[in-house]
Amino acid sequence: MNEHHDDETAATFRHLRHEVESTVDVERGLSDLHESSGTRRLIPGRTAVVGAAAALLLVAAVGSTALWRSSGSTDIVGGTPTGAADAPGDTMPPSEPILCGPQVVVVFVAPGARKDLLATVQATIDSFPGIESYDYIDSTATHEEFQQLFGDQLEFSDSVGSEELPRSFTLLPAQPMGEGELEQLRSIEGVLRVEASKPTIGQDDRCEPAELDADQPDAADSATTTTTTPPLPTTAAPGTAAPTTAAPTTGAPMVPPTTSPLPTGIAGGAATPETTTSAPR
Amino acid sequence: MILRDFDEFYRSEFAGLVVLATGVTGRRAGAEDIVQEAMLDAYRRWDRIGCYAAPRGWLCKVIVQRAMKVARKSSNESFAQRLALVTSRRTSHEAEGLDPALGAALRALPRQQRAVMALHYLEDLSVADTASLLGIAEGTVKAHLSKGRLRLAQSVDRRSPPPAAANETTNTIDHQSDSRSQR
Repeated sequence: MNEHHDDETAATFRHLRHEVESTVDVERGLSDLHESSGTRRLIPGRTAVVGAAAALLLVAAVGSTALWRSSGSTDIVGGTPTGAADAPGDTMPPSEPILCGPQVVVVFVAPGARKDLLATVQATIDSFPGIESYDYIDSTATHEEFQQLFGDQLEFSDSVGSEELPRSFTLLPAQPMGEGELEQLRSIEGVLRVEASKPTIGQDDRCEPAELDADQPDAADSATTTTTTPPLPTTAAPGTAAPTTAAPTTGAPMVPPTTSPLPTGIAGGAATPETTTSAPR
Repeated sequence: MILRDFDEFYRSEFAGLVVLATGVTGRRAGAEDIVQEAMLDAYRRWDRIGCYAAPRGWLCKVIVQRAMKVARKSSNESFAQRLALVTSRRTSHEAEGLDPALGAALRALPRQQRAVMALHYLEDLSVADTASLLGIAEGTVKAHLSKGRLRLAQSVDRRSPPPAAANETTNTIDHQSDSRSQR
């Protein structure tokens, strides 16, 4: 029995070796290494690019549902300035943004995903009772937004083709999804990653705890204002921000891009019917 | 004491070390970066490391340590980091370079068990050498090997078998299975 498993395991690792070795570009790696040796220019540079992308993408992924607050007098909910921020001449304080809001789950599928895989993912999502809405973003739409995001870094942005970018589903669950549900999505063959933001990010005293959202559905509603998600029934409690769907009126642009970049793809590049579909429930 | 040519060493070892890093992390994504950084470290110390009897051994240790660190961190990566990984060109390309079923089967193994399996089956290290490299007891290595084989076989059984093409090529790639089975 052990010998049988030993053979099987050896075969599995041979398979791994075959899979990986056939995709390694040794000459490119060597060239990169020589370029970066001494200064480590390339590797940190790439890391820096990825890091910058990370910050922007995080904003993009939750931006449309996030509650942005700054330590100054400006409060912005769902992209609409409220209160003192409306005052003429009131500029954005350079304070660090705090992201709060409902959970966002992004399911990345391989760029070359076939329709049956997409249908499987969609069916799985449909089987979850607590999903308010979800969007599907194909590689083309993702690429358009990628170009917007990295358009000023021509060498980087030009080197990435739409066929290399993953497709994704962005889910807006009414309640944070359980690990079991996330694992169910991850277990689908062809799903690259499933990423779930925490319901509240950067939580501090300027940011309501997630538990309050459950107790005060209107507070959560106020943050769930995407272009594709129908506003939930609201009964705004006194003292809480009202749901906002209007575009920003005056003041500095608080939310980063007007067309939300990359994986969310909630706005912007929904060009073709196949490109982006919204499925409010 | 002969100083090897670094480029030659790189060309001969890079791909195999990427395989090792992939085996330890269970992910193709990031494996090249782990190896590239280790190679860069080796390059800077090449006047010393290049004279070692087995520079690859030094690299294996560095790579396994880094790969295990990456594997440990991966579960705690921030949402933003993961999004960035998915959208990075090399990573998305690499993600396709590994059979999803195989990746999932590897990732189903505990981190240390995966490292033990990778070192034993990819680097053909003995139990003693694997234990030494990882700084664990030989008994632990044996236990990991035994359990790992079983778990991997179960995972693979539940999924699709490796393509026939891979099996055909392996005869030329892996010539060490006989010696391994004797240990």
